[in-house]
Amino acid sequence: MLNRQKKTRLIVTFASVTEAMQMEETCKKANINGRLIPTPKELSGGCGLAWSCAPEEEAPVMALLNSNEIHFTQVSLLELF
Amino acid sequence: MKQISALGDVCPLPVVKAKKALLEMNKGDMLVILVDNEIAVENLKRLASSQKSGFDVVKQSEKVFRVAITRGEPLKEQAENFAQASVPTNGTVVVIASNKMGEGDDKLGAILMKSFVFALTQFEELPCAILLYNSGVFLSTGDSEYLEDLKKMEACGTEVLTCGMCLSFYGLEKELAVGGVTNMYSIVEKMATARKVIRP
Repeated sequence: MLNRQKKTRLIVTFASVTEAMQMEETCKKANINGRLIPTPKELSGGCGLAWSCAPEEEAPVMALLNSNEIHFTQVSLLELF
Repeated sequence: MKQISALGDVCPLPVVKAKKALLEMNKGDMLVILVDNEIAVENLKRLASSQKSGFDVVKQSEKVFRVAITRGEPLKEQAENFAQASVPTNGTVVVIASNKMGEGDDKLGAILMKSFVFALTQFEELPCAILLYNSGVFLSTGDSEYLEDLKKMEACGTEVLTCGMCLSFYGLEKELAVGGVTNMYSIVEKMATARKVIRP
């Protein structure tokens, strides 16, 4: 396989789909690059969706999460394709 | 230069013959293959582009197309994929027949489909082909949010093929942003020769 390497991603999990969708919307508005993905098997979380972004986005993402605007469950680093 | 005839051969024989001949050739060598239908020409064109080889076609008469493929430099991995690809049976083919997954709420359906395509990219063994038709064409066109995932799989050897009739139905002929165009014969062939067909 060509170009197939896992990369480190910052993963945020949430308690519900609504919160995950709220995260996507807020990040779009704040110009934070990232995307919703189905919560990776390695992480537990009540919800099926997680926010995935480059580790470089950690500062803005953490600032956003700490502003208590969005309720999240967990922030982790994972290796994904 | 090497010339082979695939006149009268049914799909996918022309491609199988061309692949076999190309494998035995060196960079810069030219393969001329005669075929009698445009589908075969299109399939050979895709083969050439997947192998970074030059492609040229001359319509010599109503039923004779002269296709010339100039061998590009195969990467090691490409050569391996290439050898595997000459096995007539495909592995897994994924069929995306809609821009939503399941029936019910449309917004949820779109999120589920996005999750499905992402999960495909995480699978150890990628599908050999992804076929997109009907509203599935919205995934491979314009500035679709699926392009990143589809391109990633395409770069690893997955064929991403969108139904041409569907593109024209939705007025998206000029909007294709990943992979190639296919037709119903080729869709049927891919499904029929697949080891497994997955349709979310």
